[in-house]
Amino acid sequence: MSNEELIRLRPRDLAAVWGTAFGQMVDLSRAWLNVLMEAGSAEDPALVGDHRVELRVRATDGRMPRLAARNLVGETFRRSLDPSLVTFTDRGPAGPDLVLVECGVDESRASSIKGDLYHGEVVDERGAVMGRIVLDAGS
Amino acid sequence: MNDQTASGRRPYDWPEQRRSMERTILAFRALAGDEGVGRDQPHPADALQALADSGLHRVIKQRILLDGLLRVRPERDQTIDEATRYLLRRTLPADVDASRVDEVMRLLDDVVGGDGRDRLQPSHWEAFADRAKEVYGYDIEELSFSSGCNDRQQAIKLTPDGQPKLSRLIEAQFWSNEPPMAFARYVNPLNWPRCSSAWQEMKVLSGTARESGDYTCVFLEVVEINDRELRVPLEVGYRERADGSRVWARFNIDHDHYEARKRTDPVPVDVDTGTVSAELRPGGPARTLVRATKYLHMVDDDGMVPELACDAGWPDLMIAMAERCATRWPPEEPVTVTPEAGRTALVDAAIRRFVDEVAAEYQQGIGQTRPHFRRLIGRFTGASWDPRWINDLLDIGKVTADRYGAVASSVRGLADGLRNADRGGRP
Repeated sequence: MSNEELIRLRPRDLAAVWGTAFGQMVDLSRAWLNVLMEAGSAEDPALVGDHRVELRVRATDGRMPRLAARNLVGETFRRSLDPSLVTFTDRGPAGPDLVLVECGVDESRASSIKGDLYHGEVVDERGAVMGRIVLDAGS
Repeated sequence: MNDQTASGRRPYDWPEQRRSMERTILAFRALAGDEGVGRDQPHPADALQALADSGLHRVIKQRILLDGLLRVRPERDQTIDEATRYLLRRTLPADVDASRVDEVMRLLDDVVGGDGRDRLQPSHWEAFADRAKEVYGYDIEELSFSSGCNDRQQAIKLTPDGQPKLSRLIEAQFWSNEPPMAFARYVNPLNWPRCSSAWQEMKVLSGTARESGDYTCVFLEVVEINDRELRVPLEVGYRERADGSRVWARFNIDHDHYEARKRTDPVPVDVDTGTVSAELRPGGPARTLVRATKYLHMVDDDGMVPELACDAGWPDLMIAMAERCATRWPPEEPVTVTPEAGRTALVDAAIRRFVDEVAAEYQQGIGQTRPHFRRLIGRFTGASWDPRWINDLLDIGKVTADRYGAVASSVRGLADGLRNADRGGRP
């Protein structure tokens, strides 16, 4: 493209380009956000990947709220895990308005689970994400 | 030799080292009156002496010593004390005066003192390593080494037949300042026979195993523990995250081979599953968490096998990996040739290792940039202009930055190697 052609270009001719570039910036910022979310993960025992992990969640009337797991997918073999197999046990207060919850998979209720580390989320009854978990399940 | 069989490339032959570990563990248990341990074991003092003289890493020796002393608190006598001093002296760095053994002995007594019998817990090693670090100069891998090894960690796991079994959980972990990919050779099951004296063979039964890059295949794992050979068909998924932030392997008993062997050659374990991984974890005591977990249940009642797998084999695998597979820890054995020739050999080895590592880094780096580079060129030569080439450029830059980080680690390894050469090979 010559200099003269460049001069004749109006901003709206480049709208698609700038729009894509803007999308690119969004993608980049999302990637940075992911990096920030990963930062400090070493201090989160729920992400280490044991068969039982502990999570601190906001208490409801001083007790553990109704919780459910969702989107549990094995990191190696990419199989889904039935979220209803995940159990939650109230381990008592963990600070002001917080309760310590132990999550695990009741493997005795399954006929077969592909052994893997399953990554997923814990949500409350309104569907709000309470935290991320990584659970070792299957054999 | 089948290329897919790792045992033929095994450069280390240490059955005696492994036996010295097992003999010491069994000797202490026999003295403690553990059921199931034969009475024909050596006295712990003799076993400790052999352990001290072996070429095993000092962390293995010291952890087995701690475990033994905790088990025989009531029976501990003068001969065991003398052997303990011997082992502590043998594991001292070359530049530390031997008279400091008394100091370490007092620290040890503080940690293992008490009346009742106990077993080695992560807290015991943590307490000893923290107090003795000034004398031994432990690095972060040694200080942070943690291995769960007791009856308290158990979980219900399903057998291939769908039967729930209470299985023993064996876990070991440590932190390192090396990047995760520095541990790829260890994490890859293909290399396990090269990393540990317990692994005899990893023979591919189906699929294709690779030195690097993702693969899924079925191995026949051959492990020898306490003179018993275990042959287990394992389905393995080995994965490397594209950005190098995590490398891991998941293993499970392969159901088809388990079923096929039922009548003729039953698999000795019905639960054998777990993960071996190295992952970047910002916020920890070091850059990378190296972790291995294994859930194990034996078909028969041979309780000694899982105990030994826990007490000796599994931590050994972790430590031996760091020492041999990741080339981070220098050899501990004293140089037996003339000091000058030994120094030259150590310097040559450090340089050779450095060149190999850097060459491997660049080869892998070129391989990893290929998909980004291909996309970049594709966007430039496409029908319409695609500004996402910036992403590709950033991806290439990230791979390059990671490589520079890894090369920097290699340079540090070279510097450590040269420093240790001056100390006669001791860290």
